[in-house]
Amino acid sequence: MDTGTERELKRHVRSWRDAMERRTAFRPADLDELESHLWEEIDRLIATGASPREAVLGASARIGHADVLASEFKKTVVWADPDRPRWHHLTWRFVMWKNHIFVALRTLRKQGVYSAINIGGLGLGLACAFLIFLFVRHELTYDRFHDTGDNLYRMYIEQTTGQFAGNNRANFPAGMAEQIETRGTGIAYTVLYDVRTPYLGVGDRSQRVGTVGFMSPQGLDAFTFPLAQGDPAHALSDPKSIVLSQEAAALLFGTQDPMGQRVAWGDVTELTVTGVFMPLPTKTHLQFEALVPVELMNDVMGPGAMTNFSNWNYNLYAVLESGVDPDAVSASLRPYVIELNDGDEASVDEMIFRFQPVDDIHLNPAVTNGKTRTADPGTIWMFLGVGLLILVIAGVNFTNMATAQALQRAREVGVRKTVGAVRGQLTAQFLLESCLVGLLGTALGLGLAMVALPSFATLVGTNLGSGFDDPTALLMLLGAGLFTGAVAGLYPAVFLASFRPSQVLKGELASRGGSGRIRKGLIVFQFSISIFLIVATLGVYNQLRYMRSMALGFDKEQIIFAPINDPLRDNFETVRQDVLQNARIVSASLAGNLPGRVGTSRGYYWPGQDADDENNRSFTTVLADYDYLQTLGLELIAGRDFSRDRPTDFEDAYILNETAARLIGYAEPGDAVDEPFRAWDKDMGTIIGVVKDFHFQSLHESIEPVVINIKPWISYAAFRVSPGDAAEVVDILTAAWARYAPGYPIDYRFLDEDFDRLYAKDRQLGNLFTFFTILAIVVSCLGLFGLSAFSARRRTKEIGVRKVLGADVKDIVLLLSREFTILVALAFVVAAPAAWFAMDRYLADFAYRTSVSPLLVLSAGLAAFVIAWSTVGWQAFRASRVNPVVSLKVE
Amino acid sequence: MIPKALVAASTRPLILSILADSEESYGYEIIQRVRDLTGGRLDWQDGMLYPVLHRLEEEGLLVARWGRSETGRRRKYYRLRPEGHEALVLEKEQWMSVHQALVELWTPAPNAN
Repeated sequence: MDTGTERELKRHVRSWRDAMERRTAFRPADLDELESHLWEEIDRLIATGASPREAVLGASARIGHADVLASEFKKTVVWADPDRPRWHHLTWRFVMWKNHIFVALRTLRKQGVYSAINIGGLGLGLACAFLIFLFVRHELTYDRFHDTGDNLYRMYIEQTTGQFAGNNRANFPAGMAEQIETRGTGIAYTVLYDVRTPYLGVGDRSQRVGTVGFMSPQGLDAFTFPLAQGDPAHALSDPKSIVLSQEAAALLFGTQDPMGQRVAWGDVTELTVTGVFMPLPTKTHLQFEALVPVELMNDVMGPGAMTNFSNWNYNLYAVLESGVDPDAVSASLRPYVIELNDGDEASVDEMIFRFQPVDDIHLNPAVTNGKTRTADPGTIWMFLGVGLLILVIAGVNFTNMATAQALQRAREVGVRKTVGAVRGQLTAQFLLESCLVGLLGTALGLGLAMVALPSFATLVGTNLGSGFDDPTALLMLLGAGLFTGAVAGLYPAVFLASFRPSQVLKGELASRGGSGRIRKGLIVFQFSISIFLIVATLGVYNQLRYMRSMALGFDKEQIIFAPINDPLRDNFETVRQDVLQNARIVSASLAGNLPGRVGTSRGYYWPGQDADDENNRSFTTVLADYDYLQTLGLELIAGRDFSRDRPTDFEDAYILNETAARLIGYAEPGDAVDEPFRAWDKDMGTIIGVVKDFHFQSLHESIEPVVINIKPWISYAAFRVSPGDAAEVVDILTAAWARYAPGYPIDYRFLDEDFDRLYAKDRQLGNLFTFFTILAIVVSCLGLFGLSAFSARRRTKEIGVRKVLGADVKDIVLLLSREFTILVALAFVVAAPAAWFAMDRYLADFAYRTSVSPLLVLSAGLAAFVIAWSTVGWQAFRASRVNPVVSLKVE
Repeated sequence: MIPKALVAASTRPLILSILADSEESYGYEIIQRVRDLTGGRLDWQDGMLYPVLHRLEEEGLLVARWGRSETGRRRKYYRLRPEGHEALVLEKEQWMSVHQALVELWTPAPNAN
């Protein structure tokens, strides 16, 4: 045989074999054998003079048609044959799965609307869950990036007895750092840290760039904040150096190279820029825009600041030597505790130096220094819970829809079983379908989450970064999506596969209500969650509205204030006279504290003090100035205001709030006037007046005793303005700042907005609940929409018959929506008590609160009802409008 | 032409017998042999032989090996195992009893007279 003929034959045989391979019945070895047979016949035919084409055609005709052979070969397959190579099973499986996937895709396409609802609902739920997951992961992984890792601790003092029992304070005086470092065993080194928000001057321009941290030079070893420019080993070595964030550098120097430039610290001293940070991490409790060496405190607070033992203002960190148990270090400091307590042996059990891992700081509000923002782990877990709930709602949706559709697919199951599909195969098929939906839903969810991430980050008030840069997180999300699909698909898969062909094909199943109960239960469950979330949202907002509208005892609406600087402080009387020339400025005052910004406590004495209070009694103190009462609108109910005409009113006159007056022992406010009273460090002075109680803290707190006193320790200037255009007032003040404090731009705030900051967490909670509620409702409604559409379709014929018999649109709508109405009512019964209880718990945290009114719960139920009804009603209405002539023909 | 049912029924004894007759054989040869023996009246779709061979192999009556023809083509050779010989004995008995019955029926009875 010549090679040309041979090649042509081979080509023909190849295509014959390709055709055979498309049948799944043949194993490769079978095909080898059949091909060898084919060749024998071809050889024979060629020998008789046939052309290659004739030979192949003749031979393949002899060997038999592929389909006929395939069905014969199929009968010989024995699955358990131990001699069969393993990979062969896999080929079989693969082929089977290929078919499953094909069918699944076809089903999805065929049921377009349902698929869209399924995938859309799942996608929404997953997107929400993903965002929450990212948020929770963010909150749980603070301060994990420091190279010193497990050896890095923040120190705090646990008090076990006395006035401060249970107090865990993470504040230390600067002088204690060195003592602790030398007396404790196992401490490699300590780091001091405190913050200020100073004016930084470059050239003739001063501005605040944000928080500036004072840190011991070795802090850059302890914490990992890499530098883009500069040498971390020496950046803080010189007491007159400053390391800037990139944002701060841009603010101060624009596009110039900041390295080596001079920065003025107010009018105190000049610093040199010795470094610029890489973009600073957000997941750390240390938030700053610049770092300066802690030794700079000697210039800011006066010489001796570093050896001071009375200013308990510093964070103290300790890097322990590797493998050292912090409790052992704690124990080694016990002699020092005794020494600090003047040799009192018992004190070792009352005051304990403790070490808190830095990655524990963010989620542990129990240890506090009053400055670091921490997160409440309860909130985090609540988030996680709500996210899970929404995921469950989405999953339930899916289960529900798939089960409902099962009835439509019953016939498919019947036919497939009749032609030999076994239960396991069908289950696999349906599970695959739900996994596919899960996959598509996950993809959609990821997309949605990515789009929504920035707004969600704003909503929760945290910078979540890009969020999706971590492949493990992505994989986990993908897994979560698939898992949801699989779990949600399990029930319908098993349910569908259990259909018996004999019943299904006779059409008996359509009337069977077997899965109805579960389906209804799931709807009730879904709507319970929605109603619960509606109540929670309404409750949180109700409380917020109540707090905003509540009379606070001062007038927060028309007050504007700004942090003050030295030139303004020194000339304030002139500034005041100047701005008061303008009709828009009603009153002006210096202020050490403002409502919402009260952090000062002082000790006080008065005659007849209880024995308990003998040493002095600490009251929250508002450091004020003349005109303070008038500017803030505090109401004087007895006595008089501070007066410039009386020299003793400076520092030695006190105005109390009602609560303080009562606590000291004066039943009537008037009784307190002209009575003796003094601060711990002053000679005896006088109570000159009593003001009506006012809320200087958030309404989470109840009103405490307050003392108002004029001191030169001033941080703000406050202005009461007449109602009108705010921009005009800002212009006036900006001009005054420019005139009296050139180089210090004004950093003004409105008191109402500033006070509102206290409710940021509550507002955040309210926003989140709104977000979650809308999502839960949308997803629930998607499901309800699908189910009611399905129900209307299933009953098309019934509706037709009813219409023929005289039912009108109203009857039909009622008929179709009755079932769902009952379910929503049931959901309300389930959800209402739970929601009531949860809101009660939430509100218990407020000293001043609304109650959960039955009206609120009822209106939530009503809302759910209206939403559900409009979803179902539309379907019902549409179904009822169909001409019976059409509907009765439906097969 | 011999009807399908009969062809199917006779495949097994035919294969066993042909293999018992020779040391070993392969599909193509077995079919040629059947065709020769029946003068082409027993006509298989060639491919249908193989499932039967495989089933016999799975029953443990045959063993197979891959080999090469004199022209170098791949061939799968089958050989009877002892169990195959035993099975053939059984087949023979069954077919013979059918055969005898038919022969008896079809032989004109000797006239009584």
